[in-house]
Amino acid sequence: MTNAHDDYSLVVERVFAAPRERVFKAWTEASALQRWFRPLGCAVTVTRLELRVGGEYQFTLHHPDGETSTISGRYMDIVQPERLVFTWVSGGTHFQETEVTVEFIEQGVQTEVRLTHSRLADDDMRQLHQNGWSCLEFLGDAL
Amino acid sequence: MVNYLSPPLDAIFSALSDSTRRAILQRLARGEATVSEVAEPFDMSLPAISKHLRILEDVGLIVRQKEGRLHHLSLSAAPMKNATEWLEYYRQFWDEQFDSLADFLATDTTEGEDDQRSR
Repeated sequence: MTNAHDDYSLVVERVFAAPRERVFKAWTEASALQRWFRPLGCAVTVTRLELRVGGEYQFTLHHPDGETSTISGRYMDIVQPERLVFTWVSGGTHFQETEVTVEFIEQGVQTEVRLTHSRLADDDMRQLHQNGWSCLEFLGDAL
Repeated sequence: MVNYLSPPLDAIFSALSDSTRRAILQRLARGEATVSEVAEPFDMSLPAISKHLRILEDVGLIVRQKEGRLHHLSLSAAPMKNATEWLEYYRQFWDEQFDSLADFLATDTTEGEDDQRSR
């Protein structure tokens, strides 16, 4: 969790017991992604995956009630097998563009994955911060 | 708990995106006020202010208590708790994906030449 109000980003890290190339592939191959990526527990169909800088991806989420939704974005940086940067747009981000950086760090036979989800603030939230964040802190006290 | 498509959160951000409404909240953060007290600093008609108040009321950021013809407005902070859950929501989201990825990597050793190393 961020500790500065002007930096709406978060970092999640974990070490996986698999070589780096394989972990990188898990993030970049449709067949692999469809097997592990489960946003909100939903099965995913990779409907687009253009693995090049500027290329787009789109995941279709199949919700249990039969509804579908999408997560989509654009690859901004691809350094196999070290780094993957892509934009991320979904209902969860109010359909505004956020950014995800995934770093793959070799640790012997294991791989540390460090994921940074940034720009996690829509324009409203930024403006809110710039013009009235102190107000929100009052709100917290008012509870 | 935060829903994926959280309409209340959307509505709260939308309500907060307007400078007049933020100013109203700041005024109420100093204490309860009547509608005309809230409206006073603004160069705006009472119906226009009322519209802003309604938006803030709808998302639960302010509460209105009627005392005869006087309407007292006060702040309600609960909705903002939802807004700060935004980051926590994504932290949990990625944490769950990592769980799933770990399972996948533990079971799937069938593809890729790199797997030689893990056998």
